Amino acid sequence: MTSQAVFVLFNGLASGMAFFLVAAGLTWVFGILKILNLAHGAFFMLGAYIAFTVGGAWPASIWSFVGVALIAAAAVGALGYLTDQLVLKRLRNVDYHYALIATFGLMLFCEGAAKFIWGTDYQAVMPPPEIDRAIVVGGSYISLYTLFVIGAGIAVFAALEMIMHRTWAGKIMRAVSNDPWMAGTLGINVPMVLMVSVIASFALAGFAGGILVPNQALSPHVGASFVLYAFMAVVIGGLGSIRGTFIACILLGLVESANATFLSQYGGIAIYVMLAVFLVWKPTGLFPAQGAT
Amino acid sequence: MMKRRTVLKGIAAGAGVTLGMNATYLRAQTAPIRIGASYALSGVGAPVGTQMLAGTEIAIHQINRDGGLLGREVQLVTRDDKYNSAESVAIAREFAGDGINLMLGGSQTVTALGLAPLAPELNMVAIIVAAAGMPVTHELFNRNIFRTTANNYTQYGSLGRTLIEQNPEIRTWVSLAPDGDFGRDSALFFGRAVEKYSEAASGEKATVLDTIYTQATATDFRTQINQLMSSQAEGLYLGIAASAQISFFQQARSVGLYDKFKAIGEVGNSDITGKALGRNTHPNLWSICHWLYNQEPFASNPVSQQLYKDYVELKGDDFPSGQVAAGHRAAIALFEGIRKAETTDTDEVIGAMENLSFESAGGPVEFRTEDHQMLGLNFYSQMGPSTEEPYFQFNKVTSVDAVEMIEPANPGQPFDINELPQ
Repeated sequence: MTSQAVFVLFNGLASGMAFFLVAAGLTWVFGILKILNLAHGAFFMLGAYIAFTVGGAWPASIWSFVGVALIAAAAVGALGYLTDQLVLKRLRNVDYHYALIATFGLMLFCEGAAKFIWGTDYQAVMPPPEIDRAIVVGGSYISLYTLFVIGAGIAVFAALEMIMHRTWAGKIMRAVSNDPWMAGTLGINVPMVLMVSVIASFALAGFAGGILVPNQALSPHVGASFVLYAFMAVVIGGLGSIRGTFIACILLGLVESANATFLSQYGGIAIYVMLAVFLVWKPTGLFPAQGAT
Repeated sequence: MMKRRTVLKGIAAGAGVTLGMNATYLRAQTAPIRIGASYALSGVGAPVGTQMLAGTEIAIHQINRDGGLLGREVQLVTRDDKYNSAESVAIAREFAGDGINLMLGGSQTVTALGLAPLAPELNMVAIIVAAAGMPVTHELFNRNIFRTTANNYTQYGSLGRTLIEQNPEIRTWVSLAPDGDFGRDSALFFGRAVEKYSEAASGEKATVLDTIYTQATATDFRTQINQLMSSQAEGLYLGIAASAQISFFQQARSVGLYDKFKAIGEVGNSDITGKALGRNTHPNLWSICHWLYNQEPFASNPVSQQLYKDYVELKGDDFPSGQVAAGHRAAIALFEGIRKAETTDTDEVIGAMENLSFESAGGPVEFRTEDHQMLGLNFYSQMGPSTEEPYFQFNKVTSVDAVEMIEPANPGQPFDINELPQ
């Protein structure tokens, strides 16, 4: 039992941090732009493919692996700039339904582009050699890559927390998020803040793709497996709240892990029960935005 | 009395009608034969479906190069079933509405289960290309469908037999399978065969542990991997397919599963897994093998040689997937049926195919008359890593004759392994 509890804890944290790496950019862009970006998973996928193309299937070291993930982040961030100029900018003053349709179309476009560039064959990237092994904790086999993902998730959360709550840039972003009109009248360059937020959100998706690619077979549909959980976490955490999303991801990961371990015959059901409970109990999420109803 | 002019008008009209009818008849006899192909070309089934389509396209190319069928060109009408049952039904209806009565489909069980019951209503000949699900030739059987792959019982029983015969020193086996009819069945058939043939292989009955289940489309297998690592088993049947299987190997390798399990039999990804994992392929990974152009008995088979030659020429790729042969074989079955029937009429083609035998890339095959199940040799390949591109290689191919491993024909009735003599 102790062994199983240890495993559930590590596995849950690993899943939760993987969800958070994907959800961070999603909740950021929603917080600022109030757009639910359905194409987020597709840009995560592009980040994974870019990392595969640059770094290959066998990363030489953990440093090159992280470096490649940062390159993927930069490349997807650049795509974010293009997307903002060509698509998202035009959606800022229209009904949110149009944004949903546009980002859905964007997702299809990205998947089609990935098929065209990289084909439909599956690819597999392995973890870098330093973390490509396991340790046994309490009788459970825990891969070092899993621990690395936990560390990466915590590091990204800490960085975002610091940026949002300890820097002028973060405070400006929060001001724009809360009241863009008032922020504009106070001299803040609102369009610039929005553009930077989009780029950062996309870069986070690209970084997540680069970091998580050793965990999943790479295909044009790889984003779907993560982004569903990311959407759940964003809803449970409170739309636009990075802190809430972080906690929600941990909860989702732990519930999913416990479900798979103790109720494997009902695989995957507990997470939906949890979502339903939160929607009834806290429909605006754990950390609702100001004025959320 | 009829006037001369009236008679001439009548003759002229009659001649016109006759000529018109003849022209229509002649057009029908010279117009291309249109064959529908419904494969998974997008979604999770795409890596398999696109390869099968390639095999079918090559078969069409070959038949047209040789002068066509019944003196007519053969045209392929392709649709994407998106690995979706409802889509496969819609496509079959579209084909029927478009006058197409000959089709290839059911590249996966999920799409075959939608397509099979529909074929009689649409008056079609439907070739089930690669779906192994038992209902196709049992409770869902109808005379319009022909299956050109082994069924689930034969396929995974033969895989289990192959694994235990090739690895008799492994005494404990376990399965990881998706929690659904197909997964449960394939794990059961595999385990029963391991038990049955282990005594002959090593003089002692092997132990088969309870199957561990997961979701077919799961992305995280750490819990199941931990269960496998904690088990006593040294042999594994892996019933999860497509991208899920590759994710499993990615996650399993890091925790030492390759060292623990001395042999793994997998559901049918074959070279798809090898291509993805490359030098990280398990060193003793056994798979269902449709075709390996450079290994015997395929290397000396003229159909196989021509398929490879045409594949390289048409696709510009030197490493064809084994799935190509599945699409090729299905198309040849239909061509031979049409050739034998000397018409494309549905009933005539069905009648001709019921006791048809033909040459495929894997040797001679035939249909069992009662349930239209294809019989022939089923091949199993062993692969492992390599130091040369594409960084995996096939080391061995073995075969099991379907006749030795198939259940008695029982069309219209559900299959129950417990009703078979043990």
